[in-house]
Amino acid sequence: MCPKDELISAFLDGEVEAPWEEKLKAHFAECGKCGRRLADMCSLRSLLSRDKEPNYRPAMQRVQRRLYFHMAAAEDDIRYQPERELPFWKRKVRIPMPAAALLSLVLFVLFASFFFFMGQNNTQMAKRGAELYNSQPVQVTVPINGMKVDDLEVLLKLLNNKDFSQEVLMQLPDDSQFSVFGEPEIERVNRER
Amino acid sequence: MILFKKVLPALLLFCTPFSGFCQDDEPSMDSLLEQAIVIRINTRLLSANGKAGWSFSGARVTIPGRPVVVKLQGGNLQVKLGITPYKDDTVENGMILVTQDEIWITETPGKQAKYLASLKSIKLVMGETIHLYPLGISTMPPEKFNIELEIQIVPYKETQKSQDKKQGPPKEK
Repeated sequence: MCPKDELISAFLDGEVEAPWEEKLKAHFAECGKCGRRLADMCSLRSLLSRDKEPNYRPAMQRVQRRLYFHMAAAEDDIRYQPERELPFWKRKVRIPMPAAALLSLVLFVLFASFFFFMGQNNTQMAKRGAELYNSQPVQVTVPINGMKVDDLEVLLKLLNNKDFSQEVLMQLPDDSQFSVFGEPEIERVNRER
Repeated sequence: MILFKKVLPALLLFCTPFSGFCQDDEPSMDSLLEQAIVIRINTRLLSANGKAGWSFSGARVTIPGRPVVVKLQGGNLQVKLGITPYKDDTVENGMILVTQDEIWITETPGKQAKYLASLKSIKLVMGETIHLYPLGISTMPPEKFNIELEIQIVPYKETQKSQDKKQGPPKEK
């Protein structure tokens, strides 16, 4: 039975002990195939041992230096990096628990009072509306030259309706005759103030 | 410190929009009444000798920018007069009165009516009286009449005050 490549390699390295070493020697002498395999391995070893091993030391030192430099820089960054200015919305605010509790209480009171006053306002407005529309008409007419002309309701109408315009209709005596005497004129009469 | 530097301004910012809702409606109503004005119009028919043969008074409440329309009808004439007051911010209590008149007149019986339109403006102050002559003021024949409108603008609140003074203090029920 022929030995495996690993065993031949171990034989070449002198790692096979007696009595197996002698037996292998005898086999290599008898078996031509194994003898050729051993010869191939021997020639390969001599070929490899002929080339000098390249000197990796300088390259390794360079890599080590660079690694060391980068690691040191990273450490420096961690140690001495100044605090970066974050935008307002990204900043974290640390509030002590009592302050947070106080804040939430203030917010709650604010919300509660807001809704409370809104409700009161609505009630007041409803009351006012009811007073305005259900009670006696409010006496706000403006007596001018003995005539009651306008009241608050008209004023409110004016304000609510942009197209609303006040109108005064004056009926002239039917038997009167008029002529156009010229261009319309505006004259200043007096200044009371 | 964080509480005062960051939380408090944020809280104030948060609360500011709500503050408007809590306000009463009174200020807006007040400002409205501040703006309101009364236009007093006294119309007279003047004969050739300058005497008033007929007169008619009226007043309307309005606010700057909204017109008061005066319609005069009778005889051979129809006048539609738009009186629009505007606030003149360059003068204290200043107003600019713009009058736009449209006249339909039949000067000869049986003939078609004549249509005239014009636009006039005048600067005045509150309380000042002006005279407007829509048919002009040149010499006129004795059998004809001229129209004179005496216009005065007063703040609405002033009329209220004078009314209150006349009425006296309110009686308790």
